[in-house]
Amino acid sequence: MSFRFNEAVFGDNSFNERIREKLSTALNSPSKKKLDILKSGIKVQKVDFPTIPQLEILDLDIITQPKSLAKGICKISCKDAMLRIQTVIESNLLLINEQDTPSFTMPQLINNGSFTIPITMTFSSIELEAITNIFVKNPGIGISFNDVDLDFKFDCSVKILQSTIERRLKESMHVVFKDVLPSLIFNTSQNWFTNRGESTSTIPGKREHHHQQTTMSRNVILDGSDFQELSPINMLRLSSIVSSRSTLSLHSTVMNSLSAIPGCLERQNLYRFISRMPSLNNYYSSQSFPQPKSSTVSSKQLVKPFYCSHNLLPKTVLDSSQYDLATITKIQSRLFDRSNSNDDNAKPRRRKIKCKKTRTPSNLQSQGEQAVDDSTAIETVTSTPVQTPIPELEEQSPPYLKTTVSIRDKYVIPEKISLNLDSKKDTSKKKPFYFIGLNSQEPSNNWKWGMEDSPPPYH
Amino acid sequence: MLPYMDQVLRAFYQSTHWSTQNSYEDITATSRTLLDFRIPSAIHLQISNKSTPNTFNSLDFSTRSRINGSLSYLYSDAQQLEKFMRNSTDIPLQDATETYRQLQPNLNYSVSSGNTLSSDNTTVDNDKKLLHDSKFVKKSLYYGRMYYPSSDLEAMIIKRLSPQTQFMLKGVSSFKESLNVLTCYFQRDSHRNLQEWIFSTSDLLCGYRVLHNFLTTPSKFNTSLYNNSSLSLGAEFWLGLVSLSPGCSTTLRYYTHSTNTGRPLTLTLSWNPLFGHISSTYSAKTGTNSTFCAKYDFNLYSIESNLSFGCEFWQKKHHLLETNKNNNDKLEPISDELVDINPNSRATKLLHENVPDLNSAVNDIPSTLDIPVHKQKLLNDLTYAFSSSLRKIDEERSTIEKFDNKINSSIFTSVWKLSTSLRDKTLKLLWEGKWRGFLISAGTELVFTRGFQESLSDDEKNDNAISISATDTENGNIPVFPAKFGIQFQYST
Repeated sequence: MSFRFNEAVFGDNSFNERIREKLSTALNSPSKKKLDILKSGIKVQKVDFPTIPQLEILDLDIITQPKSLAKGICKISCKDAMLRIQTVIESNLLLINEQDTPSFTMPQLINNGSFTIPITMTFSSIELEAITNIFVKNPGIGISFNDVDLDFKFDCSVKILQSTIERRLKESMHVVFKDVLPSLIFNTSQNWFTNRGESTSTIPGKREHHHQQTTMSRNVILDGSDFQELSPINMLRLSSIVSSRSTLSLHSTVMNSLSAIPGCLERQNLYRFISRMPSLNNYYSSQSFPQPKSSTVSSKQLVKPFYCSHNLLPKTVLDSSQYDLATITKIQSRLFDRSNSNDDNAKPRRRKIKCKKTRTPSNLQSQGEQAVDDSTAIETVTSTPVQTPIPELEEQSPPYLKTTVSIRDKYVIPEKISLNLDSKKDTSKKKPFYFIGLNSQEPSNNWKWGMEDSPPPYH
Repeated sequence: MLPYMDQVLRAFYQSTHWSTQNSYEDITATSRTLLDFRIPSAIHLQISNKSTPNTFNSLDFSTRSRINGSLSYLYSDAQQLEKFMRNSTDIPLQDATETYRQLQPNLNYSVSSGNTLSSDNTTVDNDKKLLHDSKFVKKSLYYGRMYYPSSDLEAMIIKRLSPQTQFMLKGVSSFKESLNVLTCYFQRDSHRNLQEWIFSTSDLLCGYRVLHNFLTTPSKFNTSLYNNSSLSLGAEFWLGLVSLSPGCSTTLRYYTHSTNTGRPLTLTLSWNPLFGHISSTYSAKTGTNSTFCAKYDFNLYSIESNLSFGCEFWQKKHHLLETNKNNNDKLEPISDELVDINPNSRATKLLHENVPDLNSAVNDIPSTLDIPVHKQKLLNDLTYAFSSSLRKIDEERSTIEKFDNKINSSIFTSVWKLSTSLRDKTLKLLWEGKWRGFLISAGTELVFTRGFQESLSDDEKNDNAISISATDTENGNIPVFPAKFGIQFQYST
């Protein structure tokens, strides 16, 4: 199956003109009940989509059900768009009220004339990112917007109303994406399916426009002739996918990439995907970090299945001070977010250990002894029975910068983190060091991937 | 024409001595009636009658696209209501229609009581007595109206609670639009101030209106001793609680008579501080048979302006004038009574309380025999000394009285009303008259469409030249078209 995305439609300015035309006719449609407050039609002054809207197909499924043609998940994004509309409103609300109520009960007001204000509303730098489910069926196209991220700057010529209008707009956006847009798209697509190939419009001005729609619609349904127009590269790819499936080989067809199709994951590449899930060692591996030969973490461990790999940082990473504490904390919180799929508001419980220096005179004697003392002190503070910190001594590191990171109760293998701090400065100031860990994570928690806030770095 | 029920309402106010000229709602009534008069928009027929002295019925038909109408009932326990109500054959035209409102300067009754005692006429005394009567009887009015086929209901209750207060309840219930509106008015009239508290269920509208009458003290600049002007200042405040829409306005009204001709003139200036509207009106009764009004609107914020003109031309019954005068008692018994009573009452009312009622004083002096001779002489000397100014007062009063008498006594057969507005480009035309016991009003509203068609032709200029000439000729033929046309018949017994 192939698609043709006609970029030329968006290339020139005619696209913006078309949107402006459609928008102004839709806003001024006579079928809609005109509000009393509006004293003139709504005029769409300017529409500007400087960039081509991006459409990314995340998943596509051709179901063999009788009527449905295709089902897919798409990511639509649109950037830096601009829209300006202008109208005239009645500011005297009492006058509107006076006109609504019968004159018998309405007390007559003196000098209660109409006072109209022209109002211009500008929506600038509109950024839309939405993940949609698309169902192409025979009568029409159904779209549901799942994860909509819309942001725009709003500017109103009447400054008093700006905050109110903005608040109401943001409230109503929910309805627009949930209700208005899907029904609109469905209705227009129904036209495409039913009136295919015939231009039944009566308005001469719109005939050309309508014709464009019908020619576009031809590409929606596959005909036998369409197969001839498919690109050879796509056909080659498709055939390779098919062949890889038919061989039942567990090795992927392409060695260096996760998937043949960008954005799609195949079963035989799952372990790679899992191996790049954000755990501490994976995160490390995703960086192009030159692995030293003498590393305790072998490269073999990276491709190990998830259930046997441990969520730990190699010692070399810590030694070379590639990570600071903030990065580790970030990874940990992301891990927590993934595993904790049920409630979003749960915050990771962190165990903070303050390592305040309570130096006894004996501690000042030698560096090595001090290190041992510190680590044991930590152990006594975090007195969880499962946790088995194995402190390792390192001669080079300053005394109270050696600490352990415990992430999971089960998988904890404590590592030392050597932070790249000036030891002299710290000793002089006696700055307390905060120990941050994450605990009580159940490994059996269901992991979820795809379509989350931060998709896995498998590109 | 005033609808029959409005005439009954007016009679109710008259019989219960409730003055309508003090209401802030009616502060611009003169210019409103001269500029924004209502034009019937269909063929309309109203038949009304007074079934008993206290009940009134009215039946309305109107045909626009289909026949619809209404049925209204009114009951009031006010006494002497029949004295103020007349059927359509007897009612003078100037009472049956809304026209220039002649105001009577408000007198402070507590101050003026000493003067009015000596007055030979008793009408003011009666009014005063009724107002301060301890045996004030609570009067009320009940009104209901049903429209068909839409089956909407209108209801109104007016209750006079005390000599100074009045309560009014108006309600509309529409079955089709599921619209129910109730509006309450509480009015308190202390002659110098009229305060109104209003609450309406539509939009939970709350309102307060106040009108203050400044006492007409003789000013230093006033060369005229006979003070007949009145100055009123009013304001209103509104707040719709649901939509939080505020509204307010303030208005100044000055009413006086021209000293030379005795003709009344009204000036108003109103200002809406929220929306910046300023509107000033000047209305004058230029003669017994003509009235003019000009109104200028201006908006402070948008610099929009509008100029409106309105005028009335009354037509008298020219022939048979002599016979009418002879048979005046027969034809117009109540108007004759009005002619007798009203000028005198007006005279005493117009007279300022600070100026002693010289007319009566002069009359009283010869009749009072117990005054000693030297005092009589002193009085005569005083009268002689101030005779020039007294004569001036008398002259002024007589001119005003003469003019009022002239208007009240003349029998008008019809009136033409015209009004136009420069911005809206409309011309309203209304004819009202009496014909065989029917009160007829017929009118139309013309809209000038020249500007609109010119813009159309400008658009068509791009297409071809032939259409331009075609539209031009059309423009020449029909620059206006009627937006409204209607005729209304009223008959009441």
